[in-house]
Amino acid sequence: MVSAVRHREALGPCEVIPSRLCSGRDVHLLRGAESTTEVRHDAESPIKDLDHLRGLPVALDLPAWGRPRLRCSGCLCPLLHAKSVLPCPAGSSFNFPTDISISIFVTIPSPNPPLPACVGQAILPPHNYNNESSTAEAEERERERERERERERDFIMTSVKTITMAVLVALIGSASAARPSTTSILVRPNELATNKHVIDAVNSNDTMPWVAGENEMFKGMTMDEAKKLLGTFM
Amino acid sequence: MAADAFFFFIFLFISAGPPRTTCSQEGHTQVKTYEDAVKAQLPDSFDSRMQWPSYIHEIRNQQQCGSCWAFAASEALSDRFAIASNGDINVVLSPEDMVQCDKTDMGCQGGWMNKAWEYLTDFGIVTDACDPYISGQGNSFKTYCPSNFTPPKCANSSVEYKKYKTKNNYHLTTVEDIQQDILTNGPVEGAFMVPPSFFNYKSGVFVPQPNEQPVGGHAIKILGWGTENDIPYWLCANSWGTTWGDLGGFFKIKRGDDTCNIEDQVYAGLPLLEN
Repeated sequence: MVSAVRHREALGPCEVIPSRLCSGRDVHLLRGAESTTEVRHDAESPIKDLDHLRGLPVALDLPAWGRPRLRCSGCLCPLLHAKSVLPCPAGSSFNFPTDISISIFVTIPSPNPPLPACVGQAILPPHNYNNESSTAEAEERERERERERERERDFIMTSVKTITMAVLVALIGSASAARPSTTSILVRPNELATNKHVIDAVNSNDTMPWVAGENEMFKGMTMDEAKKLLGTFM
Repeated sequence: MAADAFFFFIFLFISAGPPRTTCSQEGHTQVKTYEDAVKAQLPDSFDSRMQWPSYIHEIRNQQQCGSCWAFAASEALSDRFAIASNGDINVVLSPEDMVQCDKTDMGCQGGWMNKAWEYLTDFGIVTDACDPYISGQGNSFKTYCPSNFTPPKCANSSVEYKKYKTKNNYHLTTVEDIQQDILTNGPVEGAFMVPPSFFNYKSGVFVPQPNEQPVGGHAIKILGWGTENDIPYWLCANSWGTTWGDLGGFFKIKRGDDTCNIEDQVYAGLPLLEN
Protein backbone atom coordinates (compact mmCIF):
# COMPACT_ATOMS: atom_id res chain seq x y z
CA MET A 1 0.00 0.00 0.00
CA VAL A 2 2.63 2.47 1.03
CA SER A 3 4.79 1.54 -1.84
CA ALA A 4 1.93 2.22 -4.20
CA VAL A 5 1.44 5.60 -2.64
CA ARG A 6 5.08 6.46 -2.73
CA HIS A 7 5.38 5.63 -6.38
CA ARG A 8 2.09 7.05 -7.45
CA GLU A 9 3.71 9.40 -9.92
CA ALA A 10 4.77 6.44 -11.93
CA LEU A 11 1.57 4.49 -11.95
CA GLY A 12 1.67 2.58 -15.13
CA PRO A 13 -0.57 1.86 -18.05
CA CYS A 14 -3.39 0.74 -15.80
CA GLU A 15 -3.96 4.25 -14.56
CA VAL A 16 -6.18 4.45 -11.54
CA ILE A 17 -9.21 6.64 -11.94
CA PRO A 18 -10.77 8.23 -8.87
CA SER A 19 -14.25 6.93 -9.33
CA ARG A 20 -13.16 3.36 -9.48
CA LEU A 21 -10.78 3.80 -6.62
CA CYS A 22 -13.49 5.27 -4.46
CA SER A 23 -15.81 2.45 -5.26
CA GLY A 24 -13.26 0.01 -3.94
CA ARG A 25 -13.84 -2.35 -6.80
CA ASP A 26 -11.67 -3.53 -9.62
CA VAL A 27 -8.79 -1.31 -8.71
CA HIS A 28 -5.42 -2.68 -9.64
CA LEU A 29 -2.31 -0.69 -9.05
CA LEU A 30 0.97 -1.06 -10.79
CA ARG A 31 3.93 -0.36 -8.64
CA GLY A 32 5.89 2.61 -9.90
CA ALA A 33 9.07 2.19 -11.85
CA GLU A 34 9.13 -1.52 -11.21
CA SER A 35 5.59 -1.92 -12.21
CA THR A 36 6.40 -3.99 -15.24
CA THR A 37 7.47 -6.89 -13.11
CA GLU A 38 5.07 -6.71 -10.24
CA VAL A 39 1.41 -6.15 -10.01
CA ARG A 40 -0.49 -5.18 -6.97
CA HIS A 41 -4.10 -5.72 -6.38
CA ASP A 42 -6.76 -4.71 -3.96
CA ALA A 43 -7.65 -6.98 -1.14
CA GLU A 44 -11.22 -6.22 -0.45
CA SER A 45 -11.08 -5.64 3.24
CA PRO A 46 -13.92 -3.47 4.39
CA ILE A 47 -12.96 -1.87 7.65
CA LYS A 48 -16.00 -2.38 9.75
CA ASP A 49 -14.27 -1.51 12.99
CA LEU A 50 -14.99 2.13 12.27
CA ASP A 51 -18.59 1.56 13.21
CA HIS A 52 -17.80 2.24 16.78
CA LEU A 53 -16.74 5.78 15.89
CA ARG A 54 -20.23 6.57 14.66
CA GLY A 55 -21.67 9.59 16.35
CA LEU A 56 -18.46 10.95 17.77
CA PRO A 57 -18.12 14.61 16.82
CA VAL A 58 -14.55 14.02 15.86
CA ALA A 59 -14.57 15.96 12.64
CA LEU A 60 -16.05 19.04 14.16
CA ASP A 61 -13.25 20.13 16.39
CA LEU A 62 -10.20 18.68 14.77
CA PRO A 63 -9.27 20.96 11.92
CA ALA A 64 -5.77 19.54 11.78
CA TRP A 65 -6.97 16.41 10.10
CA GLY A 66 -10.71 16.79 9.92
CA ARG A 67 -10.71 19.47 7.31
CA PRO A 68 -8.88 17.77 4.49
CA ARG A 69 -10.96 14.68 4.86
CA LEU A 70 -14.14 16.67 4.62
CA ARG A 71 -12.86 18.18 1.47
CA CYS A 72 -11.77 14.87 0.22
CA SER A 73 -15.03 13.26 1.10
CA GLY A 74 -13.36 10.38 2.81
CA CYS A 75 -11.91 8.46 -0.06
CA LEU A 76 -8.35 7.50 -0.65
CA CYS A 77 -8.09 9.11 -4.05
CA PRO A 78 -5.96 12.11 -3.15
CA LEU A 79 -3.26 9.82 -1.88
CA LEU A 80 -3.35 7.39 -4.70
CA HIS A 81 -4.30 9.22 -7.82
CA ALA A 82 -1.34 10.12 -9.94
CA LYS A 83 -1.92 13.69 -10.96
CA SER A 84 -4.75 15.07 -8.96
CA VAL A 85 -4.81 16.11 -5.35
CA LEU A 86 -8.48 16.76 -5.68
CA PRO A 87 -11.24 14.68 -4.20
CA CYS A 88 -13.55 11.96 -5.31
CA PRO A 89 -16.59 12.21 -7.55
CA ALA A 90 -19.60 13.85 -6.03
CA GLY A 91 -21.52 10.65 -5.54
CA SER A 92 -18.90 9.15 -3.29
CA SER A 93 -18.85 11.81 -0.63
CA PHE A 94 -19.98 11.16 2.89
CA ASN A 95 -20.40 13.11 6.05
CA PHE A 96 -17.91 12.17 8.66
CA PRO A 97 -18.99 10.91 11.11
CA THR A 98 -22.59 10.27 10.16
CA ASP A 99 -21.82 7.91 7.29
CA ILE A 100 -18.65 6.46 8.62
CA SER A 101 -19.77 2.92 8.13
CA ILE A 102 -18.99 2.98 4.42
CA SER A 103 -16.63 0.28 3.31
CA ILE A 104 -13.06 1.33 2.83
CA PHE A 105 -10.74 -0.94 0.93
CA VAL A 106 -7.05 -1.12 1.45
CA THR A 107 -4.47 -2.12 -1.06
CA ILE A 108 -1.99 -4.76 -0.04
CA PRO A 109 0.65 -6.63 -2.00
CA SER A 110 -0.60 -9.58 -3.88
CA PRO A 111 0.57 -12.91 -2.58
CA ASN A 112 1.52 -15.13 -5.45
CA PRO A 113 1.15 -15.15 -8.29
CA PRO A 114 0.46 -11.52 -9.15
CA LEU A 115 -2.85 -10.76 -10.77
CA PRO A 116 -3.17 -9.32 -14.26
CA ALA A 117 -2.65 -5.62 -14.47
CA CYS A 118 -6.09 -4.46 -15.34
CA VAL A 119 -9.39 -6.10 -15.87
CA GLY A 120 -10.17 -5.90 -19.53
CA GLN A 121 -6.70 -4.74 -20.50
CA ALA A 122 -3.53 -6.42 -21.57
CA ILE A 123 -2.31 -9.05 -19.16
CA LEU A 124 1.30 -8.57 -18.22
CA PRO A 125 3.43 -11.66 -17.69
CA PRO A 126 4.72 -11.58 -14.14
CA HIS A 127 8.47 -11.98 -14.73
CA ASN A 128 10.31 -11.15 -17.89
CA TYR A 129 10.80 -7.46 -18.05
CA ASN A 130 14.15 -7.06 -16.38
CA ASN A 131 16.20 -9.25 -18.69
CA GLU A 132 17.23 -11.38 -15.76
CA SER A 133 20.06 -13.69 -16.77
CA SER A 134 19.31 -16.59 -14.50
CA THR A 135 16.34 -17.95 -12.68
CA ALA A 136 18.32 -18.33 -9.45
CA GLU A 137 19.35 -14.71 -9.48
CA ALA A 138 15.82 -13.66 -10.14
CA GLU A 139 14.51 -15.79 -7.32
CA GLU A 140 17.11 -14.46 -4.91
CA ARG A 141 16.26 -10.94 -5.93
CA GLU A 142 12.63 -11.65 -5.41
CA ARG A 143 13.25 -13.06 -1.95
CA GLU A 144 15.31 -10.00 -1.03
CA ARG A 145 12.54 -7.73 -2.25
CA GLU A 146 10.05 -9.68 -0.22
CA ARG A 147 12.18 -9.34 2.93
CA GLU A 148 12.51 -5.63 2.27
CA ARG A 149 8.78 -5.27 1.91
CA GLU A 150 8.28 -7.22 5.10
CA ARG A 151 10.58 -4.90 7.03
CA GLU A 152 8.92 -1.87 5.51
CA ARG A 153 5.47 -3.13 6.47
CA ASP A 154 6.55 -3.86 10.04
CA PHE A 155 8.05 -0.43 10.44
CA ILE A 156 5.07 1.33 8.98
CA MET A 157 2.51 -0.60 10.96
CA THR A 158 4.37 0.09 14.19
CA SER A 159 4.44 3.80 13.41
CA VAL A 160 0.84 3.79 12.33
CA LYS A 161 -0.33 2.10 15.49
CA THR A 162 1.56 4.52 17.70
CA ILE A 163 0.25 7.59 15.93
CA THR A 164 -3.25 6.22 15.69
CA MET A 165 -3.46 5.39 19.36
CA ALA A 166 -2.39 8.91 20.24
CA VAL A 167 -4.97 10.43 17.95
CA LEU A 168 -7.76 8.15 19.11
CA VAL A 169 -7.06 9.09 22.71
CA ALA A 170 -7.30 12.73 21.69
CA LEU A 171 -10.52 12.10 19.79
CA ILE A 172 -12.21 10.34 22.64
CA GLY A 173 -11.13 13.13 24.96
CA SER A 174 -12.50 15.84 22.75
CA ALA A 175 -15.69 13.91 22.13
CA SER A 176 -16.42 13.49 25.79
CA ALA A 177 -15.66 17.15 26.46
CA ALA A 178 -17.81 18.46 23.61
CA ARG A 179 -21.21 19.86 24.38
CA PRO A 180 -23.89 19.90 21.72
CA SER A 181 -24.61 23.32 20.28
CA THR A 182 -28.18 24.46 20.43
CA THR A 183 -27.85 25.95 16.97
CA SER A 184 -26.09 23.10 15.25
CA ILE A 185 -27.59 21.61 12.10
CA LEU A 186 -27.22 17.98 11.30
CA VAL A 187 -29.03 16.89 8.17
CA ARG A 188 -28.91 13.20 7.53
CA PRO A 189 -28.64 11.90 3.97
CA ASN A 190 -32.26 10.76 3.79
CA GLU A 191 -33.67 13.96 5.26
CA LEU A 192 -35.14 16.64 3.07
CA ALA A 193 -32.66 19.21 1.81
CA THR A 194 -35.06 22.00 2.50
CA ASN A 195 -36.92 21.36 5.71
CA LYS A 196 -38.48 23.17 8.61
CA HIS A 197 -35.87 22.01 11.08
CA VAL A 198 -33.08 23.72 9.16
CA ILE A 199 -35.09 26.79 8.27
CA ASP A 200 -36.14 27.32 11.87
CA ALA A 201 -32.61 26.83 13.12
CA VAL A 202 -31.35 29.57 10.80
CA ASN A 203 -34.19 32.02 11.29
CA SER A 204 -34.22 31.66 15.06
CA ASN A 205 -30.55 32.49 15.26
CA ASP A 206 -30.36 36.26 15.70
CA THR A 207 -26.72 36.35 14.75
CA MET A 208 -27.37 34.97 11.27
CA PRO A 209 -27.22 37.73 8.64
CA TRP A 210 -29.39 35.81 6.20
CA VAL A 211 -32.91 34.50 5.88
CA ALA A 212 -33.82 30.88 5.17
CA GLY A 213 -36.93 29.55 3.51
CA GLU A 214 -38.17 26.74 1.36
CA ASN A 215 -36.87 26.73 -2.19
CA GLU A 216 -39.10 25.14 -4.77
CA MET A 217 -36.17 23.56 -6.58
CA PHE A 218 -35.32 21.34 -3.62
CA LYS A 219 -38.83 20.65 -2.46
CA GLY A 220 -39.20 16.95 -1.72
CA MET A 221 -35.54 16.31 -2.49
CA THR A 222 -33.44 14.46 0.07
CA MET A 223 -30.02 15.67 1.05
CA ASP A 224 -28.48 12.80 -0.89
CA GLU A 225 -30.36 13.84 -4.02
CA ALA A 226 -29.49 17.50 -3.57
CA LYS A 227 -25.82 16.69 -3.15
CA LYS A 228 -25.71 15.40 -6.70
CA LEU A 229 -26.01 18.96 -7.89
CA LEU A 230 -22.80 19.86 -6.13
CA GLY A 231 -20.41 18.88 -8.85
CA THR A 232 -17.18 20.65 -8.06
CA PHE A 233 -14.13 18.94 -6.64
CA MET A 234 -12.26 21.13 -4.20
CA MET B 1 -4.91 -8.19 9.64
CA ALA B 2 -8.21 -6.48 10.30
CA ALA B 3 -6.66 -4.52 13.14
CA ASP B 4 -3.72 -3.56 10.96
CA ALA B 5 -6.03 -2.39 8.23
CA PHE B 6 -7.99 -0.35 10.72
CA PHE B 7 -4.86 1.36 11.98
CA PHE B 8 -3.68 1.95 8.49
CA PHE B 9 -6.93 3.58 7.48
CA ILE B 10 -6.79 5.93 10.44
CA PHE B 11 -3.18 6.67 9.57
CA LEU B 12 -4.22 7.66 6.06
CA PHE B 13 -6.70 10.10 7.50
CA ILE B 14 -4.05 11.65 9.66
CA SER B 15 -1.35 11.73 7.04
CA ALA B 16 -3.54 13.47 4.49
CA GLY B 17 -2.27 16.74 5.93
CA PRO B 18 -3.71 20.18 5.36
CA PRO B 19 -5.83 20.98 2.29
CA ARG B 20 -3.70 21.17 -0.79
CA THR B 21 -4.40 23.90 -3.25
CA THR B 22 -1.50 23.40 -5.56
CA CYS B 23 -3.46 21.50 -8.14
CA SER B 24 -3.53 24.48 -10.45
CA GLN B 25 0.22 24.34 -10.75
CA GLU B 26 0.17 20.81 -12.06
CA GLY B 27 -1.43 21.87 -15.30
CA HIS B 28 -0.69 25.12 -17.05
CA THR B 29 -2.86 27.31 -14.86
CA GLN B 30 -0.90 30.19 -13.40
CA VAL B 31 -1.56 32.25 -10.32
CA LYS B 32 -2.41 35.80 -11.30
CA THR B 33 -1.63 38.75 -9.06
CA TYR B 34 -2.02 42.48 -9.47
CA GLU B 35 0.30 45.15 -8.16
CA ASP B 36 -0.53 46.61 -4.78
CA ALA B 37 -0.79 50.09 -6.23
CA VAL B 38 -3.51 48.92 -8.59
CA LYS B 39 -5.45 47.10 -5.91
CA ALA B 40 -5.36 50.15 -3.65
CA GLN B 41 -7.95 51.75 -5.91
CA LEU B 42 -10.60 49.10 -5.36
CA PRO B 43 -14.10 50.46 -4.68
CA ASP B 44 -16.06 49.42 -1.58
CA SER B 45 -18.71 47.79 -3.71
CA PHE B 46 -19.03 46.62 -7.27
CA ASP B 47 -21.73 44.93 -9.28
CA SER B 48 -20.95 43.74 -12.81
CA ARG B 49 -24.63 44.01 -13.68
CA MET B 50 -24.49 47.75 -13.07
CA GLN B 51 -21.12 48.22 -14.72
CA TRP B 52 -21.93 46.25 -17.85
CA PRO B 53 -25.74 45.99 -17.94
CA SER B 54 -26.02 44.47 -21.40
CA TYR B 55 -23.12 42.09 -21.10
CA ILE B 56 -23.93 40.08 -17.97
CA HIS B 57 -26.04 37.15 -18.96
CA GLU B 58 -29.10 35.60 -17.37
CA ILE B 59 -29.23 33.15 -14.50
CA ARG B 60 -29.34 29.58 -15.80
CA ASN B 61 -30.45 26.22 -14.44
CA GLN B 62 -28.24 23.14 -14.39
CA GLN B 63 -31.22 21.00 -13.32
CA GLN B 64 -30.47 17.50 -12.00
CA CYS B 65 -26.89 17.35 -13.22
CA GLY B 66 -23.72 18.13 -11.27
CA SER B 67 -22.56 20.49 -13.99
CA CYS B 68 -22.18 23.65 -11.92
CA TRP B 69 -18.48 23.72 -12.84
CA ALA B 70 -19.39 23.98 -16.54
CA PHE B 71 -22.16 26.50 -16.03
CA ALA B 72 -20.09 28.86 -13.90
CA ALA B 73 -17.15 28.70 -16.30
CA SER B 74 -19.18 29.14 -19.47
CA GLU B 75 -21.24 31.94 -17.93
CA ALA B 76 -18.17 33.84 -16.76
CA LEU B 77 -16.57 33.45 -20.18
CA SER B 78 -19.76 34.56 -21.96
CA ASP B 79 -19.75 37.74 -19.89
CA ARG B 80 -16.06 38.30 -20.47
CA PHE B 81 -16.38 38.00 -24.24
CA ALA B 82 -19.11 40.63 -24.26
CA ILE B 83 -17.12 42.94 -22.00
CA ALA B 84 -13.82 42.55 -23.83
CA SER B 85 -15.41 43.06 -27.24
CA ASN B 86 -17.62 45.95 -26.14
CA GLY B 87 -20.64 43.90 -27.03
CA ASP B 88 -19.50 42.76 -30.46
CA ILE B 89 -19.35 39.16 -29.21
CA ASN B 90 -22.38 38.92 -27.00
CA VAL B 91 -23.21 35.23 -26.99
CA VAL B 92 -24.32 32.64 -24.47
CA LEU B 93 -21.70 29.94 -24.44
CA SER B 94 -22.45 26.27 -24.08
CA PRO B 95 -22.00 24.41 -20.79
CA GLU B 96 -23.14 21.33 -22.68
CA ASP B 97 -19.93 21.47 -24.72
CA MET B 98 -17.93 21.12 -21.50
CA VAL B 99 -20.23 18.51 -19.97
CA GLN B 100 -20.10 16.27 -23.04
CA CYS B 101 -16.68 16.90 -24.50
CA ASP B 102 -14.27 17.80 -21.69
CA LYS B 103 -12.98 14.35 -20.88
CA THR B 104 -10.66 15.64 -18.17
CA ASP B 105 -13.72 16.44 -16.11
CA MET B 106 -16.62 14.19 -15.28
CA GLY B 107 -19.70 15.69 -16.85
CA CYS B 108 -22.73 15.47 -14.58
CA GLN B 109 -20.60 13.75 -11.96
CA GLY B 110 -18.59 16.91 -11.43
CA GLY B 111 -15.52 18.78 -12.54
CA TRP B 112 -12.35 20.50 -11.48
CA MET B 113 -12.15 24.25 -11.81
CA ASN B 114 -8.63 24.42 -13.15
CA LYS B 115 -9.27 21.69 -15.69
CA ALA B 116 -12.41 23.42 -16.86
CA TRP B 117 -10.47 26.57 -17.64
CA GLU B 118 -7.69 24.61 -19.24
CA TYR B 119 -10.32 23.12 -21.53
CA LEU B 120 -11.51 26.61 -22.39
CA THR B 121 -7.96 27.57 -23.32
CA ASP B 122 -7.05 24.40 -25.17
CA PHE B 123 -10.30 23.67 -26.98
CA GLY B 124 -12.81 26.43 -26.31
CA ILE B 125 -16.57 25.98 -26.42
CA VAL B 126 -19.31 26.62 -28.92
CA THR B 127 -22.39 28.72 -28.29
CA ASP B 128 -25.47 27.50 -26.52
CA ALA B 129 -27.34 27.86 -29.79
CA CYS B 130 -24.89 25.46 -31.41
CA ASP B 131 -24.93 22.91 -28.59
CA PRO B 132 -27.96 23.43 -26.31
CA TYR B 133 -28.11 22.07 -22.77
CA ILE B 134 -29.64 18.62 -22.76
CA SER B 135 -27.87 17.02 -19.80
CA GLY B 136 -30.36 18.30 -17.26
CA GLN B 137 -31.48 14.83 -16.30
CA GLY B 138 -27.94 13.79 -15.43
CA ASN B 139 -27.01 12.02 -18.67
CA SER B 140 -23.59 13.16 -19.71
CA PHE B 141 -21.08 11.53 -22.07
CA LYS B 142 -23.92 9.90 -23.89
CA THR B 143 -25.17 12.34 -26.39
CA TYR B 144 -23.54 14.82 -28.68
CA CYS B 145 -20.14 16.47 -28.95
CA PRO B 146 -19.87 18.87 -31.91
CA SER B 147 -16.12 18.54 -32.28
CA ASN B 148 -16.35 14.76 -32.71
CA PHE B 149 -17.58 15.17 -36.26
CA THR B 150 -15.43 15.74 -39.33
CA PRO B 151 -15.88 18.51 -40.03
CA PRO B 152 -17.26 19.58 -36.65
CA LYS B 153 -20.88 20.63 -36.72
CA CYS B 154 -23.51 22.06 -34.44
CA ALA B 155 -26.44 20.11 -33.06
CA ASN B 156 -28.53 22.81 -34.66
CA SER B 157 -27.39 22.71 -38.28
CA SER B 158 -28.50 26.26 -38.97
CA VAL B 159 -25.91 27.59 -36.55
CA GLU B 160 -22.32 28.16 -37.56
CA TYR B 161 -19.79 26.03 -35.71
CA LYS B 162 -17.30 28.23 -33.92
CA LYS B 163 -15.21 27.69 -30.81
CA TYR B 164 -14.75 30.49 -28.28
CA LYS B 165 -11.48 30.15 -26.40
CA THR B 166 -9.51 31.90 -23.73
CA LYS B 167 -5.98 33.01 -24.44
CA ASN B 168 -4.91 32.01 -20.94
CA ASN B 169 -6.32 30.79 -17.65
CA TYR B 170 -5.34 31.64 -14.13
CA HIS B 171 -5.99 31.10 -10.45
CA LEU B 172 -6.77 34.10 -8.26
CA THR B 173 -5.65 33.51 -4.71
CA THR B 174 -6.32 36.66 -2.70
CA VAL B 175 -9.45 38.68 -2.03
CA GLU B 176 -7.96 41.79 -3.61
CA ASP B 177 -6.75 39.96 -6.71
CA ILE B 178 -10.20 38.46 -7.18
CA GLN B 179 -11.78 41.89 -6.84
CA GLN B 180 -9.32 43.51 -9.20
CA ASP B 181 -9.85 40.87 -11.84
CA ILE B 182 -13.63 41.21 -11.69
CA LEU B 183 -13.28 44.99 -11.88
CA THR B 184 -10.94 44.77 -14.86
CA ASN B 185 -12.19 41.80 -16.86
CA GLY B 186 -15.59 40.78 -15.56
CA PRO B 187 -17.02 37.88 -13.55
CA VAL B 188 -14.90 34.94 -12.43
CA GLU B 189 -15.66 31.37 -11.53
CA GLY B 190 -15.53 30.48 -7.85
CA ALA B 191 -16.45 27.46 -5.77
CA PHE B 192 -17.22 26.78 -2.16
CA MET B 193 -18.03 23.95 0.20
CA VAL B 194 -21.78 23.92 0.62
CA PRO B 195 -23.28 23.48 4.09
CA PRO B 196 -26.77 21.87 4.22
CA SER B 197 -28.45 25.13 5.19
CA PHE B 198 -27.41 26.75 1.91
CA PHE B 199 -30.14 24.93 0.00
CA ASN B 200 -32.59 27.07 2.00
CA TYR B 201 -30.98 30.42 1.25
CA LYS B 202 -33.41 33.22 0.55
CA SER B 203 -31.66 36.54 1.11
CA GLY B 204 -28.97 38.29 3.11
CA VAL B 205 -25.31 37.44 3.46
CA PHE B 206 -24.85 33.70 3.76
CA VAL B 207 -22.67 32.31 6.52
CA PRO B 208 -22.84 28.70 7.68
CA GLN B 209 -24.47 27.71 10.93
CA PRO B 210 -22.23 26.64 13.80
CA ASN B 211 -21.00 23.08 13.44
CA GLU B 212 -22.40 22.56 9.96
CA GLN B 213 -20.56 20.00 7.91
CA PRO B 214 -20.23 20.70 4.19
CA VAL B 215 -21.92 18.26 1.86
CA GLY B 216 -20.00 18.98 -1.33
CA GLY B 217 -18.32 21.55 -3.55
CA HIS B 218 -20.31 23.88 -5.75
CA ALA B 219 -19.14 26.22 -8.50
CA ILE B 220 -20.71 29.60 -9.03
CA LYS B 221 -20.00 32.86 -10.84
CA ILE B 222 -18.72 35.75 -8.72
CA LEU B 223 -19.70 39.07 -10.23
CA GLY B 224 -19.22 41.64 -7.53
CA TRP B 225 -18.91 42.52 -3.88
CA GLY B 226 -20.25 44.91 -1.28
CA THR B 227 -21.15 45.32 2.38
CA GLU B 228 -24.52 44.69 4.02
CA ASN B 229 -25.12 45.51 7.68
CA ASP B 230 -21.38 45.88 8.11
CA ILE B 231 -20.76 42.40 6.73
CA PRO B 232 -18.63 42.27 3.58
CA TYR B 233 -19.91 39.90 0.92
CA TRP B 234 -19.33 38.46 -2.51
CA LEU B 235 -22.17 38.78 -4.99
CA CYS B 236 -22.62 35.49 -6.80
CA ALA B 237 -24.77 34.02 -9.55
CA ASN B 238 -25.99 30.50 -8.87
CA SER B 239 -27.11 28.09 -11.59
CA TRP B 240 -30.24 26.78 -9.91
CA GLY B 241 -32.70 28.94 -11.85
CA THR B 242 -34.21 32.31 -11.06
CA THR B 243 -36.65 30.93 -8.49
CA TRP B 244 -33.96 29.74 -6.11
CA GLY B 245 -33.71 32.29 -3.29
CA ASP B 246 -35.34 35.69 -3.22
CA LEU B 247 -32.67 37.45 -5.28
CA GLY B 248 -33.57 35.95 -8.63
CA GLY B 249 -30.99 33.22 -8.47
CA PHE B 250 -28.20 35.40 -7.09
CA PHE B 251 -26.86 35.21 -3.56
CA LYS B 252 -24.40 36.88 -1.24
CA ILE B 253 -21.79 35.08 0.83
CA LYS B 254 -19.44 36.52 3.41
CA ARG B 255 -16.23 37.91 1.98
CA GLY B 256 -12.75 38.22 3.40
CA ASP B 257 -12.39 35.26 5.75
CA ASP B 258 -12.62 32.42 3.26
CA THR B 259 -16.13 31.48 4.35
CA CYS B 260 -16.82 27.94 3.12
CA ASN B 261 -13.51 28.16 1.22
CA ILE B 262 -15.09 30.59 -1.24
CA GLU B 263 -11.76 32.35 -1.78
CA ASP B 264 -9.71 29.18 -2.30
CA GLN B 265 -10.78 28.19 -5.78
CA VAL B 266 -11.30 31.18 -8.04
CA TYR B 267 -10.40 30.82 -11.69
CA ALA B 268 -10.78 32.84 -14.84
CA GLY B 269 -9.19 33.53 -18.22
CA LEU B 270 -9.06 36.25 -20.81
CA PRO B 271 -11.17 35.73 -23.94
CA LEU B 272 -9.35 35.20 -27.20
CA LEU B 273 -10.98 37.78 -29.44
CA GLU B 274 -9.12 37.01 -32.66
CA ASN B 275 -9.95 33.44 -33.48
